[in-house]
Amino acid sequence: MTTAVPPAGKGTPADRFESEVLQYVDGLYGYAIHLTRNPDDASDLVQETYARAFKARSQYRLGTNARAWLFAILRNTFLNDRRAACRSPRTVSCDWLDELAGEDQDGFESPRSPDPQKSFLAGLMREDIEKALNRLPEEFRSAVVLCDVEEMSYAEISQILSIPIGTVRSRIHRGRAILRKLLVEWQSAMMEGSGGEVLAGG
Amino acid sequence: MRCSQEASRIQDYISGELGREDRMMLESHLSGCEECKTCAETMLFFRSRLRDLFRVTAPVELRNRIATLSAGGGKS
Ligand SMILES: [Zn+2]
Repeated sequence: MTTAVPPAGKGTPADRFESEVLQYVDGLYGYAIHLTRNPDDASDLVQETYARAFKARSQYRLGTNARAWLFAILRNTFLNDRRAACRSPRTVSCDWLDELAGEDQDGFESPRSPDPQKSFLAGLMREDIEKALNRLPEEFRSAVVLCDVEEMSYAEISQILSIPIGTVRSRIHRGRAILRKLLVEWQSAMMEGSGGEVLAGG
Repeated sequence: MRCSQEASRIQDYISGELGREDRMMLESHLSGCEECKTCAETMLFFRSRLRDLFRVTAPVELRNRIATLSAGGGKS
């Protein structure tokens, strides 16, 4: 008999599954807030995600990307629930996005202006950025949040959103450009005293 | 304007998605071009701002709910 028997509870596949999967609660919760826009709904969504993950654990192979797997479950759960709640089809018109983002894939408006933005960005309130994020269609918002907040790779995001890497890339580029543009526009609208809601039409 | 083509590369750069060679090429461009350098810094700054503002910790109560799930569930 070999001596080195691992203590019970360590290293069994079931426990490895749990420890792999449980390290993403914070990230999933943060992403869920961006999707649901509400802490209670976010908690419910994360709980539901884990319920499904535990049920589907046989589909998960240890050592593969648990994070992408969980985030995909969370997003699909959210989209299915929402689709069930309101029967409106999930179509995204990209015209206004193209317009807002300016030149496709252009990361910034005009590099010529000597950094008008850094101090401005530093002063941005969470609420402003949140509001701007919420103006983005879900797929753009997800791509930006997963890349910039969760620091995932394009490949990982492509797995979660089930879209090609090239599309992920352009969603992120355009999403960021739109965010910045909205924030700058709100700022200048405020400075002109027009109350900031000039864009509310959408 | 040549630099406008760098914009999308800068985006991939701050995402950490440039290969070694592209990264070195871009970095050498940034070291000589104020505009692109400023652009990259601003974008990096915005990204870190997003991260700082939106990284959250899940409520304890949610963790407890999940712990209950994992203890009880799995074989249902
Ligand atoms: Zn340049």
